[in-house]
Amino acid sequence: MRWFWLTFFTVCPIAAVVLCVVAPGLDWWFPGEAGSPLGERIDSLFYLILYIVTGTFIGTQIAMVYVLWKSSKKDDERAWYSHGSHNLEVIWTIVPAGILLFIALYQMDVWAEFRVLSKFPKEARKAPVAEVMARQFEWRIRYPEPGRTLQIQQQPTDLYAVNELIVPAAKPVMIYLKTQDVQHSFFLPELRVKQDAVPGQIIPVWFEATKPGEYVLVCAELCGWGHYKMGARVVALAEEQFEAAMEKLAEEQSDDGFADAGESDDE
Amino acid sequence: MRHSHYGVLPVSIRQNSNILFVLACGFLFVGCDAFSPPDAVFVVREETNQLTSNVSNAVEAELDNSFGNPHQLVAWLKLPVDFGGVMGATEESTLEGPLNKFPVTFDTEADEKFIAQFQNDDGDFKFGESGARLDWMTGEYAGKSMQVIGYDAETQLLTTKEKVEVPPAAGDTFVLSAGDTLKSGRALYMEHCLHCHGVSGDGNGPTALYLNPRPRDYRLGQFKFKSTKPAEKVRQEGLGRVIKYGIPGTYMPSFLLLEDEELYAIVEYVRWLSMRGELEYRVDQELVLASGLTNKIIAERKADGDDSEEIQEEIDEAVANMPVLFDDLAGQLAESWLLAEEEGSLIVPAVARVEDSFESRARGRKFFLEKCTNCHGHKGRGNGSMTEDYQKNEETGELYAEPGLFDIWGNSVKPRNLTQGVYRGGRRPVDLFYRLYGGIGPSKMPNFATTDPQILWDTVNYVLHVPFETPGEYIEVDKEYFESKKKSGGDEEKAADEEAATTETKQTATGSTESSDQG
Repeated sequence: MRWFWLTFFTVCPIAAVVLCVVAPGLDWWFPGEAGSPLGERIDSLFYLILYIVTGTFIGTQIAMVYVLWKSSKKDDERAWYSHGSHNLEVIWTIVPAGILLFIALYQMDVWAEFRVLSKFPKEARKAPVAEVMARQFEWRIRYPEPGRTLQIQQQPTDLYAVNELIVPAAKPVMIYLKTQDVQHSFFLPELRVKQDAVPGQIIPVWFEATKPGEYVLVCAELCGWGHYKMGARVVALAEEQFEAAMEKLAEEQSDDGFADAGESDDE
Repeated sequence: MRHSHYGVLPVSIRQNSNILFVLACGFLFVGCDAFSPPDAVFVVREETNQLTSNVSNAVEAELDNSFGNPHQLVAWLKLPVDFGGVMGATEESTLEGPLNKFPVTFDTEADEKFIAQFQNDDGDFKFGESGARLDWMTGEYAGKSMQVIGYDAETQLLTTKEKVEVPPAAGDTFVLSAGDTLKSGRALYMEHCLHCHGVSGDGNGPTALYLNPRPRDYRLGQFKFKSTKPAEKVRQEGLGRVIKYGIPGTYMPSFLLLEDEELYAIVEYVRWLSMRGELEYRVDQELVLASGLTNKIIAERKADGDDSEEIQEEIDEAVANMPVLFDDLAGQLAESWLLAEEEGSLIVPAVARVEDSFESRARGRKFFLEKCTNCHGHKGRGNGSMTEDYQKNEETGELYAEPGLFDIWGNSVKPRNLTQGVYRGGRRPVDLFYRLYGGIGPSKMPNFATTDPQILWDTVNYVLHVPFETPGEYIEVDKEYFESKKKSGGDEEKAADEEAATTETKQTATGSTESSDQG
């Protein structure tokens, strides 16, 4: 039995440390690599916390093992009770507080860039690409007509889509997030974006898909029985393709069923 | 029997149209006993229950025979539904003795399907662990099924698990993996649609109670948003569009992320449910209205002293005649669904959209004042006088208990508030053209199929612009319209009153439409 516990308490911390080290390489905690520059910085914050926690873990384990090992040899020495030691209390309050303060300050600019409108990249702020209206249980999207800017109010020339948000890749884009009914949450796991949609509010959200491709868009706020239905996609396209896609959307939107009669209905 | 024309089946082989495939399939609800959901069953219409017991039992038995139940579907080839599967025929064979190989051919379309379904990337043909099911449709083995375990592309020899003494004769037809599409449609329907639309497609799933508007009940075979002429059924792609893009303004969400094959399977399953429901409805209509075989009518007849033997004879005859009645009505249904898929059923505007301009919208506004204000109101807010009136129920001939409009399902229906810019049937100009040209039959929006398409486009332009109207934009147009009404109507007092003016418009509608046609 002695050997069992000995092995157990040796293996567990070692396994924990090994896992901490290999985790980043195994894509365990993140849904793939961050697809956006800000996402990478958010990830690096997670890694920073991982390093701090791992370091703390290793330090405390070593200290504990040392104490156990050392005191197991001495039968005659009396134990020292640290309860009520003012100095120790101060130390273990100040050290973690210092670490937390450091994390709080360190992440501030990332957080500000993610959430504070005035810190958003200028080009994204200037030209929001779309309004995303969450509703039970889908995402309704409104784009400005190519060449125009998105207005808060609906415009006669606006383009509409559902469950597919097309954005240009490799540049910061901003959307206006709204909800028609209850609270939803706009979640792009691969781009590390998660923002609640709150009734009555228009919330600007920005992100940048580094590479063109399809990204998952889901609702991350339990919004009703059909919550699971709110799966959609964000399609990031190279600038030219994005423009072409908008033109195509505009064309579909103005379909009068006449010019290509007989072929238009095969969607 | 005569309907050997299956527009949507993969191969048009002439065959006995009454062959039924029973698509047995493990269909499990997983869950522990305490929380296991109720068993999935196709519910029976209220009208069927009102029939006298022998007749209603016969209807239920025949329905079960032709459509099966949710666990075990039946593909009735009389219906124009693509149940899935690949059709083929056997070739002349020189092989002899107990054998499990015979040569087959597929026509081009079926061949593509066969290859897509069974050939893997290495070019080998794989039929799954237990083989693919093959159902014989004609010849020696008609009605029997076998398991296909191999195929040689070079010799075109199909290998089955079973060995047979007598090889199938050349020209015998078969279906491989019959009912695949229907089965996957069922699985998808159960996952995505059931909780609103119900197992039977009666629009009465568990969540339906909390929804307004209520989910569609397919069992009348009627759909509101379609691209076909007023009297026609909905087309496959019309249903597909609704599923893919959802219906804004209702609880129908978009299912854009489904694969095309998945979407197609759901469409076919919904069409099949709709056919099943409508067939039951029509059979009931026939038995209630034409034959009067309900418990109530029979009790009345007996009370009036009618010969009960005579009544029993009528009942027996109806029961004996049930398969024929089903066959006849299914034939009619099949024809109407097939017709909808034909090119001629699609609404194609005769002219291109009139360019959106104030002049065009002003013409549209006049048409709107003439035809639409009773329901949609003068400002398009969906609050016309009809919404305040008591309407007559066309089926019972009595007034509804509540004021306002009702659809054919008996649900209260509100004329669209056009100022909100939410278009349930889609917001492309052609979608609005479909609505005007084809009307929305089930909710009693009239169709304007005979109106000049130019005027319809003007109206489309007007309607699309209602949300962006500036106050008083059409004040001159309105004035001009009402003044011309005053002149032609002659009754000045009436014309001064907007409400009354539109009522009058209704009476002179035909004449003024003709004049606008010429203009």
